[in-house]
Amino acid sequence: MSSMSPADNLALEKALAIKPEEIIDEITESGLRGLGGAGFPVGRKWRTVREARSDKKFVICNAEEGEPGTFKDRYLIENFPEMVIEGVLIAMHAVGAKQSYIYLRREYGKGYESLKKAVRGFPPGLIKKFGSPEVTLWKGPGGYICGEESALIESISGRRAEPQSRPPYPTEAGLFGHPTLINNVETLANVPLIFNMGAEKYRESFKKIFCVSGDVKKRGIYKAAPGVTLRELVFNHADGMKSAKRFKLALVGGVSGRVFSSDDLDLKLDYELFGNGAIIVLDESRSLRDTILNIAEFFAEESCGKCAPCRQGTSRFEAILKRKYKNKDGSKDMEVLKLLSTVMKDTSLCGLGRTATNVFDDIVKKFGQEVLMTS
Amino acid sequence: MTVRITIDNKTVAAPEGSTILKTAANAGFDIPTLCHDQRVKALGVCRLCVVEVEGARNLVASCSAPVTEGMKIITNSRRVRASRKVILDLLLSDIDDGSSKSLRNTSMGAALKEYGVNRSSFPRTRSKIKIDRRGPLYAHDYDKCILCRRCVTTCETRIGRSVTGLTGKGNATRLATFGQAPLIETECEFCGACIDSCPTGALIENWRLKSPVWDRRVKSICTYCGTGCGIVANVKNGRITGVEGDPDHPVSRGDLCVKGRFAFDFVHHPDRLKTPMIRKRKGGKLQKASWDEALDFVARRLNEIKKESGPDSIAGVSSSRCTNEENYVMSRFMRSTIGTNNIDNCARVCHAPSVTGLAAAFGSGAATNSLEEIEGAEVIFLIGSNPQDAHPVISLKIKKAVNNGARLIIADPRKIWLTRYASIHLPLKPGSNMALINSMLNVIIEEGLIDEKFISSRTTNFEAVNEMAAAYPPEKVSRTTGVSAEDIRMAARLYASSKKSMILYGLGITEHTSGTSNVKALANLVMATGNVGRPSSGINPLRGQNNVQGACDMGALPNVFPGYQSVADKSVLAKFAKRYGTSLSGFVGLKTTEYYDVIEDGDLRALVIMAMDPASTDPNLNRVHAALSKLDLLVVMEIFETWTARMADVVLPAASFAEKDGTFTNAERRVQLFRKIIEPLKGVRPDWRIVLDIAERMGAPMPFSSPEEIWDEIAEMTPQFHGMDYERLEREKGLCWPCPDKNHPGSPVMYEVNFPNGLGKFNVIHDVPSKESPDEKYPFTLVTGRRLAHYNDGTMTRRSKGLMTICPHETIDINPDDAKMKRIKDGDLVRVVSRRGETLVKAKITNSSLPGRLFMSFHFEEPLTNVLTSEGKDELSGTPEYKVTAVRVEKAKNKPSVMR
Ligand code: SF4
Ligand code: SF4
Ligand code: SF4
Ligand code: FES
Repeated sequence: MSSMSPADNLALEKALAIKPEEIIDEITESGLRGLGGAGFPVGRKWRTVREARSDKKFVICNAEEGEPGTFKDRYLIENFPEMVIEGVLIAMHAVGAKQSYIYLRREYGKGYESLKKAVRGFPPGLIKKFGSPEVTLWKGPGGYICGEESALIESISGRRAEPQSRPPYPTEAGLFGHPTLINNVETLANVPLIFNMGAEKYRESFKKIFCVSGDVKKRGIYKAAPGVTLRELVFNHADGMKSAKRFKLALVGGVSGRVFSSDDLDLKLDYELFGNGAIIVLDESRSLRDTILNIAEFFAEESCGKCAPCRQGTSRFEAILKRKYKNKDGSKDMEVLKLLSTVMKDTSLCGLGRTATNVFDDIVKKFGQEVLMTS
Repeated sequence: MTVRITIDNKTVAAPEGSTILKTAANAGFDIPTLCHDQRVKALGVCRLCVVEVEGARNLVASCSAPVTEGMKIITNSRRVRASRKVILDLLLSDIDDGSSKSLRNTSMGAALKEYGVNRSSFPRTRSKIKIDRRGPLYAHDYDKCILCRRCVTTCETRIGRSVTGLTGKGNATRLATFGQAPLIETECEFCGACIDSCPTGALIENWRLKSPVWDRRVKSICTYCGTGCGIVANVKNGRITGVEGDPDHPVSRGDLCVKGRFAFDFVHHPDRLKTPMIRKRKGGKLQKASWDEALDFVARRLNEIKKESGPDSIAGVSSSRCTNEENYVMSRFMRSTIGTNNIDNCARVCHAPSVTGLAAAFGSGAATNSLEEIEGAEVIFLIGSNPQDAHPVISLKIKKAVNNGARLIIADPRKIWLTRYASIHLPLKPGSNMALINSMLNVIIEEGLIDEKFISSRTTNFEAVNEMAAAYPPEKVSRTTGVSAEDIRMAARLYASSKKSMILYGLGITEHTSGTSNVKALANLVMATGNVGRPSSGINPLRGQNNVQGACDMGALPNVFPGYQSVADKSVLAKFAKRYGTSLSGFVGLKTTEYYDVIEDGDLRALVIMAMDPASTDPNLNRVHAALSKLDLLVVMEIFETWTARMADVVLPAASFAEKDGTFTNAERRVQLFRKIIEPLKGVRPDWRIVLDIAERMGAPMPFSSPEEIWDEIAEMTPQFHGMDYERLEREKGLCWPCPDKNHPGSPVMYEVNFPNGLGKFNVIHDVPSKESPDEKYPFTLVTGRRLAHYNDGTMTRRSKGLMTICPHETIDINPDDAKMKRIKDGDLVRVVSRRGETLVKAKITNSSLPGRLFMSFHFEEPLTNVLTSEGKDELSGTPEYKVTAVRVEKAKNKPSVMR
């Protein structure tokens, strides 16, 4: 991680020297895309907020890292808090926000402390040049849904953390009804690098953080350029499987991500595929049925309870998997689950319900529904 | 801007920003919904309304998604229908045993039926939720709750309360009151808007739990306040088993308040009077009698007294709680059968100054605009009125207006609930209205905010008023009203800032020695700013009882025939004399507030009272009681044994509103026809029938056999009603007068072109100090008024179990500082003493009473609040000053046994 060395605030100076519009041009030029999973071009998002007309704007750094198997944001805020804050300051300057929030996962006590220290460490003169912006560290109430942008906004506003229907998008009417830019920690931590290196060089050397966990020898954080294959990550970076057991599958993008079987080891992981960069590896000893059930339990627990298909669907999904089969081979239940999955995907209000059954769908597709009915 | 979209291959245009659901509905497409209630913001949580949108990966919730140019929508594909079915199935799985049976007659039930879901195919995962029956009027059957949140949003945004909220997440999400408190301990006002909104019956009226089915449903009009909300009553085995709002009603559109919705139990209460009673000799007992005996007795005595002492020794009291037809026959009875103009109605003690004051300004004495227009106002000036308690459905309209951006100015001596919606609250000293209003006019003139064009083209006498207003600079008025000069200025500027400024006022304006002048002062304000004759403007008295407007319109007044045609006008007199076939008196009769003087003098010997209870509602009751017992004959038509009925010589048991046909006229001049819900209870007769029976026995029968025939005579004799008949009233859901011919659509907005006398008249009025003022001995000012759960003398609402749970007894509302000073604790029994009488009442410590000011209602017989109030009268209208009574309070020593 040497390229992400603690900043000497060079990036801030550089960003200050140019107009906000030019910052946004630079970001656009750099090709930076959202690294929290959505992959949305960052420059475009900033520009929308910049151009939104309002006397008040906000920037929020999303550090509510609730996706199982994901720990990159924690790594960044604990080790490189200055870079995160620099990213926030530059974003605020670019979009014209005077207030910002760093929304931290409840469990990230250590990260909170390091951010606090880092905030204090900035030279006051420099901060003044930025118009003394306000950066608030905010501890979320806890819960997977708080990572969803609009739920996070609700939570800061003092309401139940629940996703809102869009439009309006947060970029139009976000926190307290004002245009709000929300970026993930990793995205913002990349911003100073762009100014340190220049957009072009940055683009060429960009590396995404992957969190590899599960049945591998060396679980951890690995950086790699988009286009890296799963094989490289698992067998080179993470040093292969933990025991003699063979690779069975990986959940790429966490429990709401996609399933890679051994046939997919050589697919190039780019923005469309890597999601947030979480890679959970399972070896051949793992029961697929248990995997599905664990994930189903997780989502039944974490559904915020707002929309009917997700609230009712996730818990029924769990219950059907747990109960005795309706017919001997379980095929009837499997049909019900497939229908349920389709409807949840098609009609849920937010991403949680829409992706809660991704892994189920992929396993059925790649391994056949029989593995779920028998094992 | 308009966008064009296609829905199921049909091209449809819609304004940009409107939702897919609304656009589709307007174009005739039917999309099912559960969580959507068009009265509140779309929630998008049930997802039943999903549709396919070309290019979108997922289905789209049509209730919350806006249309965009070129959108292609499919509302009913297999994919869409399959999804909807699964959603319904999922929701049903947590209800009851998963069968749709318990949802019959609900909108969810209808959707289940349409999608063929009779029994859920999914397992139930939510634990069973027990029904919460702790609510005094409705229950929470949350096992049926589908968490659509309509109730929560309705309560929060429409009603402005926060009674329930969500707890837990995932499948453990539940609705609950804070800390699971019973409803009675929450801020719930029992309006029932949440019940109306619930699509599953999870919120359910206690009556519906008892009688879920009915034989018939009948539309009628609420019997309580002058809003005139529409109700639908369920009838089973000849009894009213439940009441709901009428969604098609032009004023209330389905809304009701706690009284309208729940206080119908009085109709079948065992206390209803069912047998006539006669007191054969003074000092004797009231004894049961047959109708024949009673009517003969009344007819004979009236004839005797008339013969002995002349027609003017008899007087009648008509009623704002009775129908137009009844008020008309009562007036005609007094004028033609008895031969006197001694006829008045209970509006004398409430809105008579509105009639005189508004007539002096505009030439006609009624509200200038309709109630619906409140929702469209930009500025609302609410003075001397507490609609949150007295006219809750009007309050709802005010809240809606404010939610839409209107600014609210409140002038009231109390910190009434609605002040939380107000931009400015002027907490004026009781009785100082006119100075305040004149001072606002002063500012408007000083700062050049007048509408010169309106003043010059449509009014007269502005010059004089201009001069008058100069005597009321805010700094000076600030001293007499206790309102800061700056606030007076701000209120004046705000009021003058819009051409959609609407004045709403109540008895805090009229029940003063300066009542009529207060009304005139407000009318000056309206004309000076040109805020009359257009929608969402004007000056609008909020009528207390549901037919105050009608009782006056019908000529139940000592000086006018129906339609305010003067008895002193020869041609009018001749017209009515011809119709009645008898000669009529051209002398203006007595006002009810003058009756007692004349009784004391011995010149008034008999009183016929239709549905009024002056022995508890008139001021200075000790005197009233003495006077009433002096009468040679007191006849009372009533539904319950009121204080007045107990004093009567003859009591005639009358039918309630539910047992008769007729029309009521609400605060916006809307004449509304209603039909009887049930047959009259055994032994009772409708008031109109009783009056006709007496007239017949006195040898002067009137030619009517039904309310409709009575109406036809009213319409024939009164220009402003010429165009109204029962058939039209029924079809057009009521009509606002004036409606001069059959093709006339009625007049929600008055004076758009002209005032009846051509020009509007500015009136010079000067501050008349109230006849009551506090001194060392009586240092507090008592204001009287209404409480939400009760109505008038309380004879009806005190017989509703649920309402008595909400408000079981009277209190005197006292400011915390005053209470401290007097060492009074909440709930202490205190003695309240005025210059005329005293009473005992429990104290309630509340910030709604400002220091030095106390508040009581007059809904109870113990305490009898009106023993305290004074008869100080408005000179022109005779209306007493209920709103200012100097009193002292002290902690009572011994608890009398009568207090609960
Ligand atoms: S009855 Fe009215 S105040 Fe009470 S919870 Fe329902 S909506 Fe709210
Ligand atoms: S009680 Fe009724 S209205 Fe309220 S959330 Fe439940 S189902 Fe919806
Ligand atoms: S607001 Fe008035 S008319 Fe409407 S329901 Fe309540 S009491 Fe009846
Ligand atoms: S009606 Fe649209 S989501 Fe419920």
